[in-house]
Amino acid sequence: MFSKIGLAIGSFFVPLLLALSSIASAAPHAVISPKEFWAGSIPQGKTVTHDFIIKNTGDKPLILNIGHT
Amino acid sequence: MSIDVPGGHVIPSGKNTRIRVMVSTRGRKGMLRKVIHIHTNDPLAKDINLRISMKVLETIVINPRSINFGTVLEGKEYKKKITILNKGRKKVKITNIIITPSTQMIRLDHVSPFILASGCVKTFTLTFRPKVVKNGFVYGAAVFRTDLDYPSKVVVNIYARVQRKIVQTNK
Repeated sequence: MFSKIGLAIGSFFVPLLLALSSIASAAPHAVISPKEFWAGSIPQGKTVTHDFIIKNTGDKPLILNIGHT
Repeated sequence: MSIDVPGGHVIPSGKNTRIRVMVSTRGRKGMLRKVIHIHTNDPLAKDINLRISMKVLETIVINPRSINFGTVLEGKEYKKKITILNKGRKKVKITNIIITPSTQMIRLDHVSPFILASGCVKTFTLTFRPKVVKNGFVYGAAVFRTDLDYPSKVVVNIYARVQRKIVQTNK
């Protein structure tokens, strides 16, 4: 009797939890490493160029808005 | 500073993109720090700060960068020392020194061109013999031209307020 009730609850909640977790993980995820760059000693007048790599490990497109100080 | 994102501002799932940061050191010296702010639609990382920093080394150091003689008397002579130091790793040629205004008021005991080896200092004496000018103020400069791409010139600004000599007459 109890095992049948347990089976019924399980068959209802487990797919629900799976569905909810999949909704929760359906998001972009930004990964940047490292976030800091030390260029060292640079003679005045030179231009320093550096590439930061940003990866989207999530399962939705990642949108960037970039500004600076 | 300029920022370029060649791959665009929308990154598909599983892909990556490059954020290219270019920082010019022109006119800067000492520690230089820049922060890039990124606002994203990632619920766990809505705001990300990227930092780029460096130490900017001056190649040519001139001291002082400006000379204010204050209030000076017409016809009197005033002197100031100017030093120029090559802090770069290579020799620098000072190709020319231009003094303005070219009214013989300001002179520099120099012979240009000359070579300044790495780590070397040269000291000049700037002589100022003021003449009365229209509004009483003298704005001048000593411009040191170099053979470098940057700085191609270093400027020492010169300021003074000239007072007319009072001549007493016996009646």
